[in-house]
Amino acid sequence: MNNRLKALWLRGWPAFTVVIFLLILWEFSSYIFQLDAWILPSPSMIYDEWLLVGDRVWEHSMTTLKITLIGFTLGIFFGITTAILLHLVPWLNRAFFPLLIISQNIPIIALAPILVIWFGYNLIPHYILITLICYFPITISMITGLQQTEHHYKHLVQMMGASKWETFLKLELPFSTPYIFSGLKISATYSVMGAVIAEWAAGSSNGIAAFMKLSLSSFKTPRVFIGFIVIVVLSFTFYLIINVLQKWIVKWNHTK
Amino acid sequence: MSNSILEMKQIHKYFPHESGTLHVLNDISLHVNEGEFVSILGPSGSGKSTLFHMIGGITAPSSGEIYIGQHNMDGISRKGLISYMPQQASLFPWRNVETNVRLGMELNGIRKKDAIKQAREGLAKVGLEQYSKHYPHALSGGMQQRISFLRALLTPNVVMCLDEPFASLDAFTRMDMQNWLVQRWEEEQKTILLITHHIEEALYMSDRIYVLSDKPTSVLATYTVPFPRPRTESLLATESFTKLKFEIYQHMKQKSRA
Repeated sequence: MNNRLKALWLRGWPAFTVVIFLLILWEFSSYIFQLDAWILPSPSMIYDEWLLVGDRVWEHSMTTLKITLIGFTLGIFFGITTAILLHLVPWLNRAFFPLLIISQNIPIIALAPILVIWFGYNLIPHYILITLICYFPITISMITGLQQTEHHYKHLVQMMGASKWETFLKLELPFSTPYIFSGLKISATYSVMGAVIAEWAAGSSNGIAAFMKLSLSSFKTPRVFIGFIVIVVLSFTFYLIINVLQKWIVKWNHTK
Repeated sequence: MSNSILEMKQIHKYFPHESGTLHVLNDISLHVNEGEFVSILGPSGSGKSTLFHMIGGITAPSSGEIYIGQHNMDGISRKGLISYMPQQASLFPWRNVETNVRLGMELNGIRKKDAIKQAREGLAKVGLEQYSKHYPHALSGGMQQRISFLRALLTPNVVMCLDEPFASLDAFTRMDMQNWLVQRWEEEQKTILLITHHIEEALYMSDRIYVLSDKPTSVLATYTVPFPRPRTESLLATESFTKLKFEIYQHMKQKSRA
């Protein structure tokens, strides 16, 4: 364990040092240029504000985390289902794949108010938006993985008697897992962003976006920065969890 | 020919090509008897892999018929019926040695309990049991080929097809693997069809050899290999072996010039 920490430090210290350096630079420049807190608060001001409103921020964050997790889970479920269906049923692929690509050109931020009109001021538009955002990267990367399964493997199992379903289950599905994980990583980072967009656009009274919006309207800029930090920490934690899962599940070296 | 397990009758194969069609296989007829070790010897790129894809049921012949036992392999209606050892080991990187070896049994409905037992026995027999929990990427090329062979050997299909299994190995490992495989075969007496472009390899290992010509591929000659078994490396240095090797070589050379 000690060795691993040491390795982590050896690899991470340049990035860590840069962050510390930037924070110090930021702190000093806000003293030197005498900027007002509502324009650009210094790191220490943001920290002071955190001491003051930390409990409330925590509650809002948990609200956001909850809808993110639900949306992300739905996105994974629909993403994987779509990928499997489009892969196994060629005519479905031909019929729906172009639609899938086109659907990604709809601006999510403009879709949010429409969804509110349809479903009202509740959590449903939130879930739909997050699901839509998470869905696409997972579907696309999994389909890519399934279709890139190397031919020599396919020939082997088919000549030895595998049915289409067995070929999928024993070969294509495991072959695509590293691809699924690269999709999951993108989606995990997008999901928090998606939740914030949803909260912002759907005018929620709870959640980190609601907190930021309220703070912004009363010029409490340090609190908006707290919101930034929460979003970054949440996204990054998600990413790390997926990364750990990947290391744990995909033990083999895909590049050979 | 009543006991032939694999039979190909007048196989032709055409592929569509820029300028009309490409005639790949020209009137190939061959058979493999039960428990026989047969080699198909031909220059690289002579449609040998196409031949295997047809035997394996993933490509249909343009005309002619292929029978494995009673089953007509028309490339459409039937799943594969062979045990296959490809040129690349093609072990699944997400499976360890033991579960890789079990693949063929899984695909052919052997109960998991029996498959585990057979895989362990098989690994022990070839002295690889200490690697059973290793993953393929941690093994050498020769070792991977042994696992791939064992996977084919334990697949409960009647014909084993080996597609240039040693082509990617260095000369020393290759000799080592040939010896190893001949020993395994002499123990198991499986029906084996080997594709190779290596005359010595074909002579050393098989009972019969079909020599193929270059495009369009047809059967040039059939040889029955007269050497008794068990065979050992010393056979390679005997005069009769070298003579036969040279004869086949001359035969292939003349035809490719003509």
